Amino acid sequence: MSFDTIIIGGGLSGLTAGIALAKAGQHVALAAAGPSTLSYFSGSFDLLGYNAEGKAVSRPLDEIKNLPASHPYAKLGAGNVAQLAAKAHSLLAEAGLSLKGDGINNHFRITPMGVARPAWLSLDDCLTWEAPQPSKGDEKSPFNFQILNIEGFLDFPVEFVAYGLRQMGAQATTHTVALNILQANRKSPYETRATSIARLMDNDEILRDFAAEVESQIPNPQSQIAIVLPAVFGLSGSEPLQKLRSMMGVPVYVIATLPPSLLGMRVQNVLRKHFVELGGNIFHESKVTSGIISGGEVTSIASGYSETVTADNYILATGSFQSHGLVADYRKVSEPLFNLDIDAASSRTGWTCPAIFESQPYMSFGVSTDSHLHPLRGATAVRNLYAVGSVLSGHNALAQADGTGVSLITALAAAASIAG
Amino acid sequence: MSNNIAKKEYDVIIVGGGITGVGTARDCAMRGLKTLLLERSDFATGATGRNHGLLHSGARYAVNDSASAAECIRENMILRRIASHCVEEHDGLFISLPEDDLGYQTQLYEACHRAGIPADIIDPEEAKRIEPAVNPALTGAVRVPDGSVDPFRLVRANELDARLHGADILTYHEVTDIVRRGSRVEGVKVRNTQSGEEFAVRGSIVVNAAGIWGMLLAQMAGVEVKMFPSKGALLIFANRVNKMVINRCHKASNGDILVPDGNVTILGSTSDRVSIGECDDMHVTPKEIETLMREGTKLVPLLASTRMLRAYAGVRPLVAADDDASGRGISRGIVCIDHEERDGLQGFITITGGKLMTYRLMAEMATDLVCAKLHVARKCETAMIILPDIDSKADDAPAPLRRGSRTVALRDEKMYVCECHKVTLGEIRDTIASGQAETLTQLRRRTRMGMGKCAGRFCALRSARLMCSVGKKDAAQSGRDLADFIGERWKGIYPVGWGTTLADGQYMTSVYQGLCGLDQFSGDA
Repeated sequence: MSFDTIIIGGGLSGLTAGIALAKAGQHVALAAAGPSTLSYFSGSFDLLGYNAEGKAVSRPLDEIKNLPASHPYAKLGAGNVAQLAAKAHSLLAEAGLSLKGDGINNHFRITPMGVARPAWLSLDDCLTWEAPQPSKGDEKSPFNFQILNIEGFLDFPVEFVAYGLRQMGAQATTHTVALNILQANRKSPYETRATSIARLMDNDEILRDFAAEVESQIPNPQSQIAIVLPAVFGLSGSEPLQKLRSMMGVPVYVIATLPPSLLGMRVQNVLRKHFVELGGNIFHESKVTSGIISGGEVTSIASGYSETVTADNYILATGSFQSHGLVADYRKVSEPLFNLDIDAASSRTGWTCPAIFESQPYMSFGVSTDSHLHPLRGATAVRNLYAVGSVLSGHNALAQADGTGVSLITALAAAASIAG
Repeated sequence: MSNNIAKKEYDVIIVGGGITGVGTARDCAMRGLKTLLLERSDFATGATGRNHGLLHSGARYAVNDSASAAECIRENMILRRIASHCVEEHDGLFISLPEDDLGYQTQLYEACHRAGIPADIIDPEEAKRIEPAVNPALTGAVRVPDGSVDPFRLVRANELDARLHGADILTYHEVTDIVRRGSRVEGVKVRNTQSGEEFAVRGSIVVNAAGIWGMLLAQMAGVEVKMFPSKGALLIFANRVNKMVINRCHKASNGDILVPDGNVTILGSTSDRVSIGECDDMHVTPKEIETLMREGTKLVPLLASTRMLRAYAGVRPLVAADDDASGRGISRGIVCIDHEERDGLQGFITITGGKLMTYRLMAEMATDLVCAKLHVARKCETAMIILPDIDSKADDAPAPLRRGSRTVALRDEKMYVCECHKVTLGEIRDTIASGQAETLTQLRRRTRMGMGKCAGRFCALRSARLMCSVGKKDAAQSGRDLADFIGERWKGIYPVGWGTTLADGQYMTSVYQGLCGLDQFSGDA
C-alpha cells in the first residue's frame, strides 16, 4: 500500500494533521493504536496556560516570545504560531465542534476539583468564565449553582466542585438525581461510567425522564441559577445537552468527569468522522512496530498485522510515555519506532523529582527536531518525517498547560510543510 | 472514650500497633486480662506494613540459625490453620545458579530436615515445569513450604479478635512517658495525636511492643534496649510474575527473595544499618534499586521488563549483638526481656526481635510472662483458635478474603471503586461509615484501594468523595487528604520512574494535575 502521507498516532495531533492534509487533497492514512490522552480531556483546548513562573497567562499568543528556544512554539516562531492558531480554531469548528473562546484571550474552565484553570477554547457544554472568579451581577455569569450528580455515578465529585465554587464567592448547592434505568447498571461492577451513561442519554425518552427528575429537585428555577452536571451527554455532538437546555429553560453546563472523558470521546469521534468524510483512511487498532530510515529518509513502516506500507511523507504523532511514543527503560529514554535522537536528562536521577506537582523533568523529554519539525537521527534531520504533539521535546503540558495547543499547532505546521 | 480509659485499671498496657502488639493484645484478652493497646499512629505503619509478606518456611535461616528456622516452620503451620484467609499456600524454591556452590544446597537441605522443615531437592527441569518464570540457567532447586501472608489482614483479624475478647484499643495515641513509682512501672502518660489531649492510664504491666521505636520507649522507662535499625528496601511489581516464592540458594544476601502475593510480586530486600532518626521517613535510594534489580533479574530474568509499581523500605527491629555493619549476621530470634529480672524494674516487659512469621509465638511468650507476674494460670490458646472473619469462604471473591463473613452486609453495592483490587462501593462505604478510616491512607490499609497498578488514578478521587458523602468530612479536609495521598503514592513511584511505571505515573499526574487541578486546590477555608 502506498499513500501521500502516513500518520502514526490517532490522538489529537494525528487527527488534526490528517484533516489538514486530506483537505489539501492528499491521500492520507492514519494508524491508531488504541486510546489516546483524549480519554482524560477536560473539555477545553489550551494554547499556553501558564508562564515560566507558573502565573496564569491571559493572552497566550503574546507570551510566545518569552518561551525558551527549545519550545516547539519558539521553533516555529510567534507569527507563524498565531496564524496556525487561527487555522486550528477554524478547523475544530468546521469539523463540527461548538466552541467558546475568542482565540485571543484565555478564559477559565472549572475542574472536577472545583478550581479554575486557564483555557483557550472550550466546548460549548463546559462551565467556564472570563476571569479567575465569577462576578456577581454579570448577566453572563450565573452565581447560584445547582450541582447535580447521578446516583451511583462515582466519577463526578460534586462536593469538591461545590466547595471550589463557594471559595470563589458563588453559591453552590449539591443534589443527587436517581434514574431508574441506571439501577440495573449499578449491579455490575463496571457499567456506570460517563460513556455508558451517555449512550443512555442519547435516547430522548430517557433524557426527558432525567430532565423531570432534575426539575423535581429544583422546583422553581429563578434567574441567575445555573445547573451543573457531569459531562455525560453527547458522544458525537452537543445535541443532547442542547435539548436538555431547552427543556430546563435555565443555563445548563457540564464539567468533565474522571476518565473515560465523554468530551474527549466526542472530540475524537467528531474529528475521525470529519477526516473520513474528507477521504482519509483510518487503520484502527493498528500498532506500527518499526520504521526503516535509509539515506536520510523514511522508506517504509511495518505494523504487526499488515504488509509494509510506504508514503512520500510520514508524521510521527505517537505521544509521550503514557502513549508509548517515548519509552524509558532502566538506563535511557528512547523513541521506539525510528530510534530518533532524544532530548532528555542522561542520568535517571534527573528524570523525576520527589514532589509530584513540581515541574517534573520527564514531562519535557521528547524527540529532538530542527525548526521544521524534522526529527534528528544521529544529529541529521530525517527529510520526509515530521514529529508533532507530545512526542516533541521542550514543553511541559502539566506545568505550562500547553499540551493540546502543541498538538494542534505542530500538526498544522507539519501539514503546511507537506502540502505546501 | 479517653475519659473512660483514664478511669480504668488495666492488667496490661501494650504499646505498639504492629503485628506483635495486636497479637499480644489478642492473647492477653483471650486469657481474661484487662487489656489496653496504644498505637501512636495507625495499625501496621512500621515494619509490619513494610516487608515481603513472606510466609517463611524457615529454610532461609536453617543453615545459620536453626532455632529461628524451627520456630518459623512451627508458626508457618499454625498460621495456615488459624489465619487461612491471610495466607496463600504456594510453596517456594531455593534455586542455585551456575555461579553458586551446589554444596550450599546440600547444607540447606540437611539443615531444613534438622529444623523440621519439609524440603525436597528437585531436578532443575522439574523446577522449570512447576515454576516457568524461574531463571532457566538454574543448576539445582529445593522445594520448601514457603507462602505469602497479608500482614494488613493479619493485623485486622488479630485486632478484631482482641476487641471481641474485651480489649480496649486506641490508635493515634502516643505514649509520652512511663509512670514509675520507685522501681515499679504503674502506667503510662498518653497524648491523643489528633486532639492533643493528654492523660495518664494505670496498668500493672506495660509491654513494649513498639518495634524499632521500642528503644525509645525503654529509654523513657529508664532502661536500655540496644536495637539495630536495619533498613530493608523492596520493590513491588505490578503483575504476578512467579507462581511460587523464589529464593536464591546461597548465604542470605541482597535481593534474593521474590514473593508472589495476590496480583503483585515483591522483590527484596537490602540490609543496611540506619539511625533511629531516619526510621520515620524512609526513601529508597538509586543504589538500592540498582542492587535489587541486578540480583532480582538473576532469580527471574523477566523482571527486567516487568512493570514496577513502587519502591518502599521498612526497618527490621533487630536486637544489637555486635558491630555487624549490615545486620545480616544478627539472629532473627525472639527477644523477650523481663526488665524486673534484668534491670530491677518491675512491671515492664520488652518483646522484640523475631519476625512477622513468629508474631504469635512472640505474643505468647510476652503474655506467658505477663501471666506469670500476675499469677494468672490460664494457658495460651492462640495457636488453636481460628482468627475471626474466616468462617465464611463466601462467593464474592476477593472481598471475602478481606472481610470474611461480614461480606454479606456489603453485597448490595458491587460497583468497583478500586478496579485493580476489586474493592466495591459497599466495602468502601462500610469501612468509612464504621469509623475505621478517617483518611485515604487508612482506607488503603484496610481495603487495599490505591495499592494497585494504577496508583490510585481513579479510586483515590472516588474515595475522597465518599469521605465527604459517607464520612461527613468537609471538602477542604478531604481535598487536602487527597493531595497528600497522591503525593505519598508518587513518593513510591518516582524512585522507580522508568518503563510502564513512569508511563502510569504520567497518566496519574495528568488526571490529578492537568484535568482536576489538584495542585491548585486550596484547603484553607
